[in-house]
Amino acid sequence: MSGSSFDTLELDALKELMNVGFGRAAATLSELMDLHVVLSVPRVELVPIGELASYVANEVDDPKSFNVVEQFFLGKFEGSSFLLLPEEEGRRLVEMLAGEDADADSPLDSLERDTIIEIGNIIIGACVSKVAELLGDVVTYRPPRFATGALDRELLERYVKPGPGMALVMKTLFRFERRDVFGLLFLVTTDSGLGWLKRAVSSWLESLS
Amino acid sequence: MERSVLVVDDSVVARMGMKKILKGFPLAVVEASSGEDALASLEAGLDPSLVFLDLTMPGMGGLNALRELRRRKPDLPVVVVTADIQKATIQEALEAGATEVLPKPAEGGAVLGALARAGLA
Repeated sequence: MSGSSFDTLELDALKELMNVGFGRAAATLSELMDLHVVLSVPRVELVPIGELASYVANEVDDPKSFNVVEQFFLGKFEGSSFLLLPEEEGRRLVEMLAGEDADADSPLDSLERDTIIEIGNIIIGACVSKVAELLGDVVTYRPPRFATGALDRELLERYVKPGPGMALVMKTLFRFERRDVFGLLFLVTTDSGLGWLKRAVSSWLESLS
Repeated sequence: MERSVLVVDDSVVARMGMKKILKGFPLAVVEASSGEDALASLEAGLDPSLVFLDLTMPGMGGLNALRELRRRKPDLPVVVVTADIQKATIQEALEAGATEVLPKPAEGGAVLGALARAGLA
């Protein structure tokens, strides 16, 4: 694979780009919900695709019930983005954004789903678009897909087919002040996307030196 | 004596970007990768004319570092450079003593403006 090795500096560059993208998403969300989003330092790692499901499961305390918003992005920077929200946290977000009391015992209704998808759209769009823009690319998106269920291999493999190669995982955790909602964002690039990303980051770094 | 600027950011790349912008000025650029490192530099005798400070950093974080910098050096200009551009964050930084807040990635014109306001350009 062309882009399977990122050195420390290149990973730091990706982390910084992700940081900027997530900052934009947080600003949009805070305007929308009128509350402060607390950002954490993002982590960027290369994970073998075959180990992605167990990697993700290890990142969460209780993988039993999650909402997943997945969106494919196309461009030179190409791949899938995932926003993972524990189901209960998704309901809290709905309450904050739509001002509705969600019934914890009933399945998500269409308004609740739409709200979570919209939140996913904002976060994914801001992060992916900003990373692409800073590296000189323009991406387009496929409509987001929504799923809910246990965050297990079966759920994840609906989106990321197991195979050889590496996935670039950019993970960030966000908290909404006062309500302490948390979620995870992952970007998994395709092989060609990863190769382009490495070249773009190298050339960006050259411009800084 | 050559004046110095302290650049505090956990990202090497962000520090590289800032150093590139500052290259053309007769300023010594000192780097710190955390709030703790920045405070240690001051304890070691560094007396910068201006600080560029990131907020989202591991350890004590930028906001606590800012409060401590302000406590130790009330007149030192501290420019926060952050990706977190929420109004509440900017307000919090200003209340903690930031001289001004610039969005990341730092752009040349904005940095030069901050230098000028600090009397360094």
